[in-house]
Amino acid sequence: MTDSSIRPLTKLNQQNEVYQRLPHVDLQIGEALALSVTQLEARVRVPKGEDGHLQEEALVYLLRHARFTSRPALEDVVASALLDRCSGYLNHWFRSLSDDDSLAASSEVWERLAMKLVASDDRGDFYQVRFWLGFQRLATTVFNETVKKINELSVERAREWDDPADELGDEAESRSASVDRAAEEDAEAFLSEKVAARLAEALAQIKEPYREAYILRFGEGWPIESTDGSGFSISDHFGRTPRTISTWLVKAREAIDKWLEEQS
Amino acid sequence: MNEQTRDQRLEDILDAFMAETPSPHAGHVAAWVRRYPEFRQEIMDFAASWAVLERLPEKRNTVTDKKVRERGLAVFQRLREASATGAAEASEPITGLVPVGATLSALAQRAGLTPAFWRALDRRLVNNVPSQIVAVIATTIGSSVAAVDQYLAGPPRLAGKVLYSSSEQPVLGEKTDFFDRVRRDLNLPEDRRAYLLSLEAATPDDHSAGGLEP
Repeated sequence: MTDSSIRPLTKLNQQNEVYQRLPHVDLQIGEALALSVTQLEARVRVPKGEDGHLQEEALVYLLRHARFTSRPALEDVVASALLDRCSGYLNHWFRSLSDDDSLAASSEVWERLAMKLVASDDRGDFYQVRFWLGFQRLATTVFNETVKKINELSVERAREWDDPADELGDEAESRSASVDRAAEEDAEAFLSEKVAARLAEALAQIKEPYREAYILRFGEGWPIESTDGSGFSISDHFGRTPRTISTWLVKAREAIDKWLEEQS
Repeated sequence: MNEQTRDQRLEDILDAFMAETPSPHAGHVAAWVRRYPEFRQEIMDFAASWAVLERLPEKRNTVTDKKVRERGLAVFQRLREASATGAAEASEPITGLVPVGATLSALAQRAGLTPAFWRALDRRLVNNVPSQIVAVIATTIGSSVAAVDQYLAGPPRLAGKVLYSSSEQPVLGEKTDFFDRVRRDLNLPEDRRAYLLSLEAATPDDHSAGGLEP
């Protein structure tokens, strides 16, 4: 049974239907609204899987409720619980960034998340329906922006590879062909968990933008060049010629080979 | 589409993208790029970051979960303090419940009321408005609970464009009880009416009386 005093969501999804919280989230909200702040403080610590656990979607509702009814003590309890639950994930997602970049990106995620969760309109409704998905999307967006800033310099440096024929001539063609063959094996390796872990270690040694190009090509199967007019390709993503991307892939594979050789 | 609307739409699309696709593999990304060609570049950029995030090895920096949490706490606290300051500013008397540029029907719909009901609230013809509804009104017009409370407590006011003869005293109307108006408003959907009437059973300060006391 749903508590009729719980405010319904109003935001529309891509199918133009109003987002709906899951019924058990509504039940959790109803139960939580009947608690004192002290009781709620204990309740938010109930671990997942145990009776009385409050899902993050319910916490988002409670945070908004606290904000719009001016209950700072309640707001602190709920915000604190959300931070406890999310910090580890965020730290893990930003594991590849430097200390400074990781903390700056984390702050940015918190800022955007908090603004959404307490927005006076319904832009945060999604977080009452699929919290973790929204949170991961937000973190990925911020990661994307952070890496873009970091990469601006490295992509500039990579410009020297814009015309590989000039740089490497026929040699580039032949190296590219052999790298393609080796990389096809990598595409298989991405599928094997054990080999993928080793490959991930190797990828960590590669500089951007070579690494990203390599992951997209052989990890996710993106085409180097768009052939169907959709404008979807690694070349379109980076805004560089297909030939440049091919050269980046050569560089990436050579860096992997070098690292593997050093390891053996 | 203005920039803010575009950004919001992009976020909605990316939320749906992540919800509906298991990975940023080429086939999935291509389908979404075809579906939303106006966001082609953004979808590709996002999917590329998703791929990189998933493929990278274990931790390379020394940041602890505690440090990340501290950053979050600082943000939430700052926003709460800013809100308190903003609320104080927003507590400046407001002049109505229909902000410039907003329409009566859109405001009413967002708040789950009828346009006639919202007009009555705007004219301060309703008393005993439950705190939950005051909060909804404040959220809807981007003001504070205190400012809305203060506004509703004022005397009835004339509708914006009422014309009357200078020899006649304008009729302002009398305040009516919120729940009586809910019962009389035939345009309210039944489920909404039931919800609004359920607030009557609670004490005037429902949520604080029922729980979650500060």
